[in-house]
Amino acid sequence: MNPALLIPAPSPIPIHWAWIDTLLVLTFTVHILFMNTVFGGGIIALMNASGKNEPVARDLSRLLPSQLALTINFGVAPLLFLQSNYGHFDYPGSVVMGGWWLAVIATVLAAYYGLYVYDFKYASMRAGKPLMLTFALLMLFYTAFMFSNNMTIMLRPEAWLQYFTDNNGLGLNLADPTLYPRFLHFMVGALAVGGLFLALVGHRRGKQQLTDTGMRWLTRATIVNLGFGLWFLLSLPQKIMLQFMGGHWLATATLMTGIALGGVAIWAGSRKAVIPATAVIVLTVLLMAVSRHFVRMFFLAPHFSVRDIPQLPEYSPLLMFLLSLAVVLGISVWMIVIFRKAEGRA
Amino acid sequence: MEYPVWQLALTGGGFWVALISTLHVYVAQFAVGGGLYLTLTERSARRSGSEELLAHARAHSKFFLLLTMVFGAVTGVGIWFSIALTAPQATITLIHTFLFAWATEWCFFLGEIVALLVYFYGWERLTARQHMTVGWFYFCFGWLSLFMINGILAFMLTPGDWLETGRFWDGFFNPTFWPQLVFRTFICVMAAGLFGFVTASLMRMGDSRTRQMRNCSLWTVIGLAGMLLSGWWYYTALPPQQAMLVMFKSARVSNYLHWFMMLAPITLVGGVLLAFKLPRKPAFALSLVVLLLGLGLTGSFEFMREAARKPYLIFNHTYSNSMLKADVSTINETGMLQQAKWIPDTLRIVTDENREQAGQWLFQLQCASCHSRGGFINDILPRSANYTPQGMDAFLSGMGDMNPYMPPFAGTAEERQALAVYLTQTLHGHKPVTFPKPDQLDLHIPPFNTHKDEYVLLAWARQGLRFISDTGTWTLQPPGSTLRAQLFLRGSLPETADERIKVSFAVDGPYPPKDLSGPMRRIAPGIYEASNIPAMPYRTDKSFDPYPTFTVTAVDPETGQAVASTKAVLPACTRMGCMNCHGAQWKDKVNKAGIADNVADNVLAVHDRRSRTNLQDRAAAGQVIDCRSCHTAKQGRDNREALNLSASMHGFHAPYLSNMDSRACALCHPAGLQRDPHKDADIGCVNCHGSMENHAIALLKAEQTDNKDVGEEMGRITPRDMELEEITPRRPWEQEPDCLTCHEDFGAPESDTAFNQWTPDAASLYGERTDETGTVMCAACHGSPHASYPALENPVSPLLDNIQPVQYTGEAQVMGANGSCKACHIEAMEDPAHHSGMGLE
Repeated sequence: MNPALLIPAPSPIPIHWAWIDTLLVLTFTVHILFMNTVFGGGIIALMNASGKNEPVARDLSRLLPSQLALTINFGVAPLLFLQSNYGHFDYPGSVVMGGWWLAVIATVLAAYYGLYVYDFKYASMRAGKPLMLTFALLMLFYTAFMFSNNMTIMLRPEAWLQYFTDNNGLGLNLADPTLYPRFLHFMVGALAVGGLFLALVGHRRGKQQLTDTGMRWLTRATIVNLGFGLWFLLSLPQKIMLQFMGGHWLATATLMTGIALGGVAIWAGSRKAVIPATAVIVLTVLLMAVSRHFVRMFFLAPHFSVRDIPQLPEYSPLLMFLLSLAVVLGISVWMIVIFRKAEGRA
Repeated sequence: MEYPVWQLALTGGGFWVALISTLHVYVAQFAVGGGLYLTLTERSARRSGSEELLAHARAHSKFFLLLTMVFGAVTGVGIWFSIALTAPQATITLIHTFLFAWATEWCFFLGEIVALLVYFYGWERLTARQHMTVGWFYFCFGWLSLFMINGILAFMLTPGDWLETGRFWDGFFNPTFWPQLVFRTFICVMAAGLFGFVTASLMRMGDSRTRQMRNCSLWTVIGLAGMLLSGWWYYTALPPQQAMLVMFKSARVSNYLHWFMMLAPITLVGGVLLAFKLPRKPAFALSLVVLLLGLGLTGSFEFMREAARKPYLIFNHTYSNSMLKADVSTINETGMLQQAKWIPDTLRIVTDENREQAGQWLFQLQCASCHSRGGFINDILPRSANYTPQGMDAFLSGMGDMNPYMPPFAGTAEERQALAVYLTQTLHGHKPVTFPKPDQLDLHIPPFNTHKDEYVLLAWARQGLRFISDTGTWTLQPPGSTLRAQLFLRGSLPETADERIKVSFAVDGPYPPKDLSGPMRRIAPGIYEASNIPAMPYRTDKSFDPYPTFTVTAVDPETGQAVASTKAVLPACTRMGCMNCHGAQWKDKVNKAGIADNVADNVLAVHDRRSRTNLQDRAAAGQVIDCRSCHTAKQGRDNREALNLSASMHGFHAPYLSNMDSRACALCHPAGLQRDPHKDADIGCVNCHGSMENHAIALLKAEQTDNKDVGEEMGRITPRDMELEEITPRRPWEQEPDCLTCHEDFGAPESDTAFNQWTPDAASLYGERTDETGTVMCAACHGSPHASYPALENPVSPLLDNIQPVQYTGEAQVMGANGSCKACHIEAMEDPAHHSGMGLE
């Protein structure tokens, strides 16, 4: 059976595809930054659960649930835009792994409540504290692994053939050699960004202990992640790998700049320069998100180009969206500003 | 059919979607109403300076955060995940059509989260004014989320002009947008009150608590009252055809409506009761109960809304099983297994080897999105248990027309049969119905001495085969055969027998003796009849023979001597095909015949459900239901309401038996009915009676001329190969196909279609007519209807339906054919006196 014949026909989109791809990459960047703060922050809290660094864990415990709320919210938008342009790849993949995939709802819910219990019962829980946090992190780890599976299985129609031997939705993309380095690259990246997040909190609150711990995590995790990134690159099918080595100049430039910025982040981390490190990391993550998007395009290239999607132009709903986004962001900024200003009163 | 579907045997697609969405929607609507409740409560607390009330608002905001932001938000994503897995085609349509409605909704969701976090963590940090402003923002964002989702939900029920224009705004601001928005806003208000009780009941006893409980009560009452009023507006905003379907046609909607109407007053009473000063514990317990009642109330509304949309996910556009309405005709032509992308290559063409497996995949594609297999929701097992493969195939063919809440089956006839085999044979072990081969009969033809015998006795069954229902629950066709005989005194010009001669009949073989023998009544010179003979196929030795023979004897009473004797078969069969769809079991399992009790019950149950009767109750009380007491056997001039039996039976079942040839008839009528030479010439039921569709329409049209309402039945049947206007009305049993339509002037046929030309009245029927001399009945020489001589197709013995021709002429042939005139006339004849032709020209 030719797996390419399984690919559904794309449905029409209301605006030029580039709008949707751009929104996809931008919102994904925000999502992954928030996700990193939760998972990375959680690991750092766990690693500092006791001893003199315990205040680090306490500070983080208060922040994690809200970070997860924003992670989930900012996960919705890229998934929506992904389904608009690439839904005909994502849906079949999701169905193949349907059971694992739907379970993500339960694990996110469990992690969410776990983090709230960890925060609200921090003072009263003793030995249970790290256990509760470990539980929440395991739930998030599962979720992340399923997302990695979901985002890679959609790129490999040959993996969809599992549907014909097991259609109960218990397939995964475990045969894909890119899955493991890709997943590890994300998770170790989360430790770096989690560290940066902690450093930022310390910087704002004037708590040097937090900053020092955070920047240490940023530096070390980023160094390790250069290795995982290289492994990820080498694990790609040769044709795709070569695209990032000069084959496709924009993809090459994006990735190389990203790697270079990673180096800058290590330097800034070692210098404990929180604000420059933040700027560099945000830009690095953005460039890596663009590189990830290139990977997707290259994988799908034999079957599909985003240019193929038929268009039935209708731009007024886009205006509604942009206007709503502006208003919501404006009001949200105002709310956050008054909240931050009031910090002293608490 | 572009997408795969997550195949869940136990839960079916519907379960997860129903579970997640019912819970989510309740909590999400609480999120909206609760935002308003929180802000107003905080304002009231601050204005009155009540610390207790402020503490309540604060406690409530924590409960609110943990419930709405965590559970509400995650389950909202859960609905999206679950529908994408179980109905990917429809989900992708919704995503693409409303991309920026979803995106806008996401913005408001973001605003909600930021506002709620700031509100929750800002009790101490923000000024009262700032805090309440954030609360107001929260409520506004929440309501705007509802505004956006409402457009998409309403679109699915009433897509309005979008179906033609495909424009975003036509779909979004659809006919039920505004009424549903108001309706849901009131649900939000009610939910705020109901959830408010939970935390307010735990406040310290005192004036603040009492006041707050009363406030919650007021919210509940206002919300509920508003729901009922706007619910009516909502209903009237439905397009008229859909409103009719919702209120009067859909048993599912009325079922949920029943729940809704029952839970509404109970919730109201609970909400009012909580306004009274109850101690903390009972009040808290009651508040949880009322909260669950509210869940039942809103849940029944959501189920009602979903049921009202059936058989669609997007009304008139995408069926519940994600099939596009526009694709059905192509799929019917080329086949679902060819069209669907996600089918194993080995199953593209149905073969004997892969039939059950192909059926299973077709089940997944077309049924599994709503039906589980042994699970909680719409379990297919009890729903398919009553069918044989043939019956299920017929049922599937009528789906859509006959069961308007289900999509039509899409695919070829072979695919439909494969699905039927899966649903019956694979799931229940029901094999296709086949009958045991009948025992061959050693037939003794009575003797006839052409030189000595004075009389010729001809005897035949008035009906070719009597079709009998043998259940004690109801009476459709009771036993009661008619035997006719004609006795001639032989001569150059034979005479009808003297009226002194007595003719009698007696059954041959081991049958119950009662009423199976006796005298025959002289109904005209030389013509005798015995009616209401309870001929049955069951012998006392437990064997089964639908062709019992009877010896007919003519006796001269003066001498006491038999002057003539012959035999006639009086066919009677209890193999009514009701069991194909109504229970899949025979009463007599060995011989495969008779109506089993469960079949009889099921027939009544379906009648009760479809026609809102109480036949099952009456039967349970011991009454035998006589179908003909309402559905008169013949043209029903006595009953203005119900159709006559034939029009009713054929009119109702025709949609299930369309696009078939005579096999349609054989699903209900017994095989072995037609035994005449037409069968050998491949001229079957439909050649004379018309296809099931046209046959039913002819019967219904006759009822229409009697001013009966046949609109519903007629509306479901599409005439076959001709226009509705061309079909001639026909009264059952009085008007039948006429032999002379094809056999013009008794000659050889020039056509093989006798449909649509009916005998004018009962007296003109083949069974009642005589020859041109007015003395010899057609059937006397030609045999019974459907078994006219030479009738060689009898499965028991080829001679059985030709006893008299063989007895009197030595061959299975029409009496008098091939120069056999001597049987009656003693000598050869030259003129065809009975009718033209006769092989003499």
